[in-house]
Amino acid sequence: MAANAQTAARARTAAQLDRLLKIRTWVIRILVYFLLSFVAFLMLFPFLYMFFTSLKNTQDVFHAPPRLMPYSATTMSINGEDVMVYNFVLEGQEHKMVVDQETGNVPFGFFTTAEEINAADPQSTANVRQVKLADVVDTGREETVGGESFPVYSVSIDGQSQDLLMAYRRGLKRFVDVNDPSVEVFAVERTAPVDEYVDPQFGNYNSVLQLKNLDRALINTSVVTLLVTVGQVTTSLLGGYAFSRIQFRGRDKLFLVYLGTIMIPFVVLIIPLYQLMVIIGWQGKIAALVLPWIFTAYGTFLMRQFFITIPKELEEAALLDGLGRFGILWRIFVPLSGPAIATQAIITFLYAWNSFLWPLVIIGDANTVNHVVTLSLRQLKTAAAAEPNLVLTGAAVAILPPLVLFLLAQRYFVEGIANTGLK
Amino acid sequence: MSKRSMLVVLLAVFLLSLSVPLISNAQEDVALRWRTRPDNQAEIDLYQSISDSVDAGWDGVSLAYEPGGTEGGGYSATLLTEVAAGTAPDVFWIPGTDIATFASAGAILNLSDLATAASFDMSVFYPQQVAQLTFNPETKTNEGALWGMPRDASAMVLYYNADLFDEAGVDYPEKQMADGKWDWEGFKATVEAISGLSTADNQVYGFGMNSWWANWLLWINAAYDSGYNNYFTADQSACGLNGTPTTEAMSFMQELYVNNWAVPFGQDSEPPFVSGNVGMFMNGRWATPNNIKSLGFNWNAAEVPAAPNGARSNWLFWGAYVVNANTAHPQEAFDLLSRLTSVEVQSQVTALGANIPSRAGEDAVNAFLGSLTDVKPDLNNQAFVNGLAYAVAEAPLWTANFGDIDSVVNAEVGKVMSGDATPEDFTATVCDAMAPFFQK
Amino acid sequence: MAVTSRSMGASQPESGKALPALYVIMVWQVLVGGGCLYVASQILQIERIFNLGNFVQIFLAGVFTLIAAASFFSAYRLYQINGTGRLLAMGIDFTGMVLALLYLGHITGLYLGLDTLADGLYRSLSWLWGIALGYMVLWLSWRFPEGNLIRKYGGYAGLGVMAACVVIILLTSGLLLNGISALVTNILRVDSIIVIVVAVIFGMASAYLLRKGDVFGETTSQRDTWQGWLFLMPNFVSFVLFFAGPLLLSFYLSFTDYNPAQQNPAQFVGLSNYTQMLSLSIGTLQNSEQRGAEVIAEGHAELTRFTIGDSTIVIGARDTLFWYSLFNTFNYCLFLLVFSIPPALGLAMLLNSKMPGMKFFRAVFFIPSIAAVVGVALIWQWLYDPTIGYINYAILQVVNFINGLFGSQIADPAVKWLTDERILMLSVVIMAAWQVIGFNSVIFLAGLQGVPRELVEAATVDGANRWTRFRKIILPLLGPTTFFVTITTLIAGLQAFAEPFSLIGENNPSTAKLTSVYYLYNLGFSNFRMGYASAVAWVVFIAIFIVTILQFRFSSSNRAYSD
Repeated sequence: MAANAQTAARARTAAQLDRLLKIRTWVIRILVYFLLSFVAFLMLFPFLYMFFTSLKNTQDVFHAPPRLMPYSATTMSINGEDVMVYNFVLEGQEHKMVVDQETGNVPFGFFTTAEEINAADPQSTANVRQVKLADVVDTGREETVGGESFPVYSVSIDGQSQDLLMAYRRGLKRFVDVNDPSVEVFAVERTAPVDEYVDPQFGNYNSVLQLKNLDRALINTSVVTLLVTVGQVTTSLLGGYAFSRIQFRGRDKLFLVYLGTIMIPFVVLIIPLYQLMVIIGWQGKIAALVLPWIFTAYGTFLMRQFFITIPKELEEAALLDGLGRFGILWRIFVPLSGPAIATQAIITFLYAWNSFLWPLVIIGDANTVNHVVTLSLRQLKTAAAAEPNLVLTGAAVAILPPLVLFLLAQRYFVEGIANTGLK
Repeated sequence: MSKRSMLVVLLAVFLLSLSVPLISNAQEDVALRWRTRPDNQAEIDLYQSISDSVDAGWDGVSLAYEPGGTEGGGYSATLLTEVAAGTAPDVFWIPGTDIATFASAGAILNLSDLATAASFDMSVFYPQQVAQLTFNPETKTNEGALWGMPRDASAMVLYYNADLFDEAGVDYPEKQMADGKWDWEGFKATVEAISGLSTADNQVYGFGMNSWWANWLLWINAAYDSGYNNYFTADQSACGLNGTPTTEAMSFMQELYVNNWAVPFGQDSEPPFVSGNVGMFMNGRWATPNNIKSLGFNWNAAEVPAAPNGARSNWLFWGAYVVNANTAHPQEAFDLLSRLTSVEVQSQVTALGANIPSRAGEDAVNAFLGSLTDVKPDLNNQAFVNGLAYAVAEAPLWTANFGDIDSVVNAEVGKVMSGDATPEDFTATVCDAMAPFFQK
Repeated sequence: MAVTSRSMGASQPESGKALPALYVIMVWQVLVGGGCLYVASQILQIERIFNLGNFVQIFLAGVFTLIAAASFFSAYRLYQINGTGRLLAMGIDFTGMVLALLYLGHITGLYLGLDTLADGLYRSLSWLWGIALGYMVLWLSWRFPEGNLIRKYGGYAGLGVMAACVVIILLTSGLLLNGISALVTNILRVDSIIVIVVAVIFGMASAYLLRKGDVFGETTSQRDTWQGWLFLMPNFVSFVLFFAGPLLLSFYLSFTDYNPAQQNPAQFVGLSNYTQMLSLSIGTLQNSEQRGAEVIAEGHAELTRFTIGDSTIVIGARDTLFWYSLFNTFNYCLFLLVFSIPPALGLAMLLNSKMPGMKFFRAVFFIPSIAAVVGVALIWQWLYDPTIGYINYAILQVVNFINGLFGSQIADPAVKWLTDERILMLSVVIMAAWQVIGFNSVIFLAGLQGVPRELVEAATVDGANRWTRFRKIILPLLGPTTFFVTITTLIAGLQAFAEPFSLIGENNPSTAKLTSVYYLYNLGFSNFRMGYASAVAWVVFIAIFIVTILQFRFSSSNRAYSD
C-alpha cells in the first residue's frame, strides 16, 4: 500500500516536473523569439525610415519630433492666397482655424504670482494668465524670486487689478475659425497644431531619377557590375582550374604569391593605379571601372579550393573519352560548380555595385555622365540643402537592386558566405 | 580593268572620302574652351547664353563653354589633372583659395605682362580680391604678378527669422542697428531671448553658423580690426592668432555655445534654420535664391554686429577666371577674361541672385541692388554691399596647406566651444599646433 | 632533358617542311628581340613619363631588355631543337599576341567604347524595359510543365520580345551602325594594321610551335606547363598590369616627392617621407607654465601629454594628422571588434536553436550588409540628427519612461552624435557594426552547425552545465571561424574610408573623423602629395600585415583541434 502511495507520489512529482519543464521550454522559446525580433527590428528600422522619409515633402522632412508617416499641411485659399489650416480644440470642440493676417503679431505677456512662479524655468510655470501687453501697465518695479528678477505689471483680470510678475512674453497670432469668425484664439504660430493629412509623395522617385542624373548612374553601374562579374567569374574559373588540376612549372610558388596578394590592402594600390589610368587615358572613363577588376586573387583562390574537392576519377574518365583540357573544364567542372559560381558572382556583384573609393578617385564627384550610383548618392548629399527629401529617395533607389537580388537569391547569399567562412 | 585594279581604285576612293571631313574642318577662328562650376541648371543655361552672346560679339574667336562639376566634387582636382595631361580648357574659374595651388603648380599663366600691354585697370574690382590676385610668391609683394580676374564676390550676412523675433518680442537687427544697439552685447541678448523660446520638445536656437572654412574667424578678425586675415601674419609666414583680440572673440563665441543658445558647433545649421528653429543664420549670398524658394516664414538679411572696438568684419568669398598655362592662345584668353568680367556680363549673372559682381563701380552695385527684388521686394541687398566694404578676402595660402591647418585648428576651436578649454589656452597654444605645417 | 630529346634523334625533322619554318620562327624571335631593344632605347630617350621620374623609365627599359635577351636566347635554343627553347619562344609569342590584341583594342578605342555603350543604353532606356517584360513572359512560361503548349509558345513569345528589343536597342542607339563604322574606320589606319599583322605573326608562330611538340620531344610536364599558363593567361596578364606593376610603382613612389600637379618630375628623396611621417619627439615639462611646444624638437607639434608621478611628459610629432588618424583607426577597429563579434556570436547561438522561422531571421540580419555604405550613411546621418533624429528621440522616450516608472529626474542626454569630437568615431563605429553584425552572425552560425552534436551531448551527459559546455567545447571548436571573422572585420576596419567620409564628410573639418585611409585620400587627392601618400599607404599595409601575423600566431596557439 505504502509502495503504491509512494509510486503515485513519485508519478505526481514527475508530472509536475514535466509540466515545469514544458513551461520552461516555452518561456525560453518566447524569450528567444522576442530577442530575435528585437534585433530584427533594429536591423530593419533604418530601411523603414528611409522608405517613409523618401515619400515626404520638403517641409515635412524636418518635423520635430520625428515621425514616420509623410504628412502635408492642409491649405485653403483665402483672397487668392494659400494659407495653412490649424486644428484647435476649444472647450472640447474641434475648430479649423486660420491666421488673421490683418491683425498680425500681437505681443502678449504671461503673468503669475511670486509664489507660483518657477524661477529656474519660467516657461513651465503651471498657472499663468495670458494677457495682451497693450492691456497691462508696467509698474516699473522688479521682483526677485529664486535669484532671477522679473518685471512687475499691473494686470486687470475680471475687472480686478492685480500686481503680477511677468514670467515671459511672446508674440502671438490671432486665429479665427474658418466657419465662424467670431471664434478666436491667440497662440504661437510656430507651434500651433497644424491640420495635416497623410500625403505620400510618390513623385519623389521620378524627380530623383532626373536630379543628378541618377538614371544614367543606374545604367552605368549595371553595365560595370555585369562586365566585372562575368569577367571575374571567367578568369577565376580558368585560373582556379589551372592551379588545381594542371601541374605546370612554378605553380605552387605562383599560388603562394596569389595568396599573399589577397592580404595586400587596396589602399596601397590606389595611387599608382590612378596614375596608370591617367597614363593610359582612362581617367574618368568607364573602362577604368571594369578592366582593372577582371582578375581577382580571392576568387581564383576560392575556385581552386572548390575544384580540389572534385574527384580525379571524373577527369580521368573524360580524358579517356578524348576531351581536351578545355572540354573537361567546360563540360565537367563548370556544371559541378554551380553553387561556387553563384557565390562568387554574388560576392562580386555586391562588391562592384557598392564600390565607392575607386569610382570616387577615378571618376570623381564632378562627373555626372560616367558616374556610378554610389557617387550619385554623394552628389545628392551635397544638393541636400535644396531638396532634402530627395536624398533618402535616392538612397532607396540605390539600395533596391541589391535588395531585389538578395530576396531572389537569398539562399546563395547566405550559404555562400557561410561556406567561404568555413574554408 | 582587271578585278584587282578595280578593287584598288575603289579602296583608294573610299580612303580618300574618309579624309574629306578632315579637309573641310579647316578653321580660321581661334577656338577657346572655358569652364565654370555652376550649381544648378539655371546657372548652366545662363553661362551658356553668356558664352553665346560674347562669342557673337567677338569676331575671329569661337567659344565653347563646358559646365564643370559641383562643389566638394573634385572640381579643382580634375582641373589640375587635366592641366598636367594637357587637356584642360583655356580659361576656367577656380575658387579664390585655390589660386595658390594652381600658381605654385605652374598650371595658370601670370597675366601681368598682358595686363600692362592692354593697360587693363584692376582697380575696378574690390581691392581685397585684387590684393590676393596680384600677390607674387617669390617677392612676397604685389608687384609683377596677376593670376586672373575675379568673377564675383560674396559677403556673409545674418539671415534672420522675423517670425521668431516677433515671437520673442525682440527688435529686428536693422532696427537695433539704427538705434546703435547692434553690437556684441545686443547680439548676445537677442540670441539669448530667441533661444528662450525653446520648449521641452522643440529646441529653438538664437544663432547658427557652420564651422567649415573658418567662419568663426569673422568674429576674431573684427576684434583685431587689422584689415587682413588674422589666421596668419600679414605675410602668411606664420600663425597670427596669438593676440589678445583672439581671447576676446573666443570668449564671446564660447558664451553663445556653452549656454546652448547657438546651434552646436560643428553641426550643420542650415536644416534647423530652414525648418524655422534658428533665429539668425550666418551664410553667404549664394544661399539667397534657395531661401526665397524654400523658407516658410518671414525673413530678411542683416549685417553682422559690431565688436566692442566698433569694428565689423566679414568674409569676402570669391573666385576668379584664370588662364591655362599651356594655352595656345594667351592673348585671346586674356581678352576673354576681360569680356567675361565686363559690367554687362556681371549684371546678367547677378540677376540670378546667387552672386555679387566683383566690380565695385556704381553700375555693377546698382545691378546687384536690384536683383531678386521682383520675387522678394523687401530683400535687404544693401546689407551685402555694406558687408563687402569691411570684408576680408579669404586668402589662398601660399606657404602651407590650408585644409590640413584648418582641421587641426578647428579641433582646438571645438574644444573651446564645448567648454573643455578656455579661450586663453586657445590663444596660447594654437600657434604651436599650426607651426609644423609651415615647415614643408 | 635537352640531352634526351637530342639523343632521341630529334635532330632529324619529321617532314621536309618543318625545318625551313623553324628557321623562319628563329628569325622572328631575333626580330622580336631587336624590336624590344629598340623600344627600350626609345623609352630611355623620352623626356619624361608623366613626371614619374627617371627611375621608372630605366625600369621599363630594363624589362624590355630582359624580354629581348629571352627572345634571343629562345632563338638560340630553337636552333638546337631544345624543348625549353620552344617553351620560351611559345611563351613570348603567345604573350606577344595577347598584348598586341589588347593594344589593338586600345588604339581602336574599343575600351573607350564602353562609355558609348552606356550612353547608347541610356538613350534607349524604354526598350530595356521591353527586355525585362520579355524575360517575365519567359519565366512565367517556365512555370508550366514540360511539353505544355503555353510553355512552348510562351517561351517563343518571351524570347522573341527580348530579341526584338535587343535589336531595336542596337539600331536606335546607334551602337550597331556607329559602333561598327567607328571600329572599321579605326582598324583601317596604318598603325592598327601593323599591330594586326604583328599579332597574326605572333599567333601563327606560337600555334606552329604548339603543334610541333613531338619534334622537340615534349614531355608531359612541359605540356602541362604551357597548358597551365594558357589557362592562367588572362588572369596573369591583368595581375601583372593592374596589380604587380602598380604595387612596385607604389613602393618606388613612396621614396619620392611625387606631386602630379607640379610641373617638375619626381625626385628621389630616400627615407625622408617615412621619417617625416613617423618622427616623434619626447620632452618633459620643467614647470606648469611651459607650453608643450617649448620642450619638443623643432618642427614638431604637440600630440599628447600625460603625467607620471610629478612630471608631465609631452610627445610631439612632425605629422600630427598621421598620428591622429592612426589613433582614430585603432579606436575604430577596437570598437568595431567589440560591437560586432561577441553580439554576432550570441545571435548565432540564438539562431542555432531548432525552432521554426530561423531562416527568416537569418535573412533579415543579413540585409544591412548588402546596402552600400554611402546609402546607409545618408540614412544614419538623419537618424543621428539631435533634433529630428530617431535615435535621440528613442533615448528620450526611454528616459521619460524610466523617470515615470521610478520617479527619477534623469535629464535628456540629447547626445550630439556627429558634432561632439569625443564620440564622433563612436557614432561611425556603431553604424559600421550595425552593418556587419548580421554578416558575422551568419558565418558564426555556419561554424556552430559544424560543431559535432555528439561532443556537446557527451559533455551534457558528463554533467557540464551550459556555460562550461560553451567555454570548453563550442568556443575552441569555433576557433577557425572566430579567426576568420576577426581577421575580415579587422582588415575591413583598418581600411575604413567610406564610413567616416560619407557619414561626416567635409562639413566637419575636425581631426576626429580621420582614419588612416581618409587621411591618405586627402593627401593624395586633395593635396596631390602622392609620394608621401604612397609612404603612408605602405605603413598602413605593414600595420595590417603585422596584425594578421599576430592573429595567426594567437589563434593557432589557441586551437584545440586542427582541421
